[in-house]
Amino acid sequence: MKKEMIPIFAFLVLTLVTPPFAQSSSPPVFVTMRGEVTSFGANGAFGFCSVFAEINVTAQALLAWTFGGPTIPEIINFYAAELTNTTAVKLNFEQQDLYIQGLWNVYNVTLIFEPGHTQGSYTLTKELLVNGGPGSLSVTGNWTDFTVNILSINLVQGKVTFYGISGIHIPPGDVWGPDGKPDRKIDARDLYHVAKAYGSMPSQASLYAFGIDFNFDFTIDIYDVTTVAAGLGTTY
Amino acid sequence: MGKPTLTNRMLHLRLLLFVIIASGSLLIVHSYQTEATTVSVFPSSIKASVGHDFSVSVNVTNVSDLCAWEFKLNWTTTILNVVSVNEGSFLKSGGTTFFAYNVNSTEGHIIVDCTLLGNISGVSGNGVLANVIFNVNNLGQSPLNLYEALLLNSSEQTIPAQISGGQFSSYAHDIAVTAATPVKSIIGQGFRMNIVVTVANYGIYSESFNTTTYANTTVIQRQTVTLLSGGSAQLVFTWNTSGFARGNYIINATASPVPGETDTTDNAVFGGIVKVTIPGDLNGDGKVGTKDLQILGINWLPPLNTIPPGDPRADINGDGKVGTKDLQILSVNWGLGT
Repeated sequence: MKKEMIPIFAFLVLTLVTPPFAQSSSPPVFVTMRGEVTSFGANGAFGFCSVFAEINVTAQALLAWTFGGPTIPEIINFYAAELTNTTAVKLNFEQQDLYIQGLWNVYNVTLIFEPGHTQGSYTLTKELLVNGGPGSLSVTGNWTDFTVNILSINLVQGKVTFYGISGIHIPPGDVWGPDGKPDRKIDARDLYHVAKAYGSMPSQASLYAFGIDFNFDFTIDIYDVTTVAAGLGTTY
Repeated sequence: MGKPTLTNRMLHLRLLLFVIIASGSLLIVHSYQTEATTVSVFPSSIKASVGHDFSVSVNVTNVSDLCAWEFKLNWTTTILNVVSVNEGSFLKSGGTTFFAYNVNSTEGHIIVDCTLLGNISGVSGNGVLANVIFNVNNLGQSPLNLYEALLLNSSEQTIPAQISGGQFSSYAHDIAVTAATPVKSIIGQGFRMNIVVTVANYGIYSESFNTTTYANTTVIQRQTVTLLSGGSAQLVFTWNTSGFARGNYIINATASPVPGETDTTDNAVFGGIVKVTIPGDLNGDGKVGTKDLQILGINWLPPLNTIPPGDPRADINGDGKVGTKDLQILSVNWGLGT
């Protein structure tokens, strides 16, 4: 290799191995946030929002929302948004408690069960409404409100129900505590809360919840139970 | 006062029935309230030799509608290592379960969790939650400290429970008598019976020691045994009851302490009470009659080691079978006793 090529090569290597927005070597900060969707555009909506992030490194964000309960019991329809590529994750950024920027996919999801059934075999339709659209999620009001703004769909807004900031990695299994909310530790309460819903689907509102369907396959299954189990004993 | 009418009698009976039911209910409520749920290490005190494995279980008692549980257990890592953790049979008796554990060998603790899968009712009663097998690294003592046990019912509510752990010990010189079992609880005066005694060496050296069995304070027999470190043996002692008066005898077995042995609390064991009575008095009521003949008849002919095993009381002469020789003895003493 020619000497003059070395700096260019080194630059290319550093560019490839360094996260694009890694900014400092300060201790890692992990954040989790759960929220309830309250509106979609001008319409009232209800749904779920889940965020796991390492500040300045990466984030996972997932939302699912709908306008109301199913009019036909066998047909479940909802919107889902998923952060697929993170470009910025910041804490306390420009009057926002949390700011996440990246590319999003948005789906219109329909589950159609066999006539007379609300669980078991179903036909899943995922209509891709937005493919890698730029957007952001921001939390404001001292961790009380969140807004998701994705290009070419209406604004999704909601209320924060739980958040946690920690110096250690926050696994996704903290879903339940003595008061029915996450309690910053993963124990048998979380495990049983998911295990109790084992086999349930979105049509069974009393058991199924998007917040415990970690792989978002619309069934609470062994993947979801093991996801909690992987974090057992963690306190953050 | 005239004769009670039928209506009055019915009223009295109903009142009586109500009192019986009410008092029964009170008893049930009372007994339910007094039996607290417990989660405990069993056995609470355990020994093993260096280099050997031993197992403890974590048990639950008096639990109702148990759907999920968690416990943490810690120990001294210089003394013990965890070899394996296995789910017990209790929760899985209620349906399909998910069992998970995480061992921290460096700090010496485990977290163990188990849950029923699905929206089903929980399990009630007593049973084993999990079994933990340890290996002994070194001489010494280690707590088996059970903590942060969490029991959940089908409403995802905590079931309050009393928690108790255990204690492990390993000494350089340590022998023990772990069991003494007379093969019969009733023996005809003048006949012989066996007492099976189990001895163990929890120390790290080979040990030779005497084991002695007693009927009350009278020596039955003494045997010398040599056990390697971690070894155990069953010794059979024969008690010849000739010369022993009729009556109840407390059977004990003791092992003489070996040099350097500091913990001798488990060098003696109570083996039960044996009644010496008239030969042929099989039920121990002090006389020989039809009830004894019944016991003999039920156990007639098949060897005692059949499955299910025969009643050893029927083998009066102790030859391992029930036959004409035993009937002869019973016949000779027929009608004796008061």
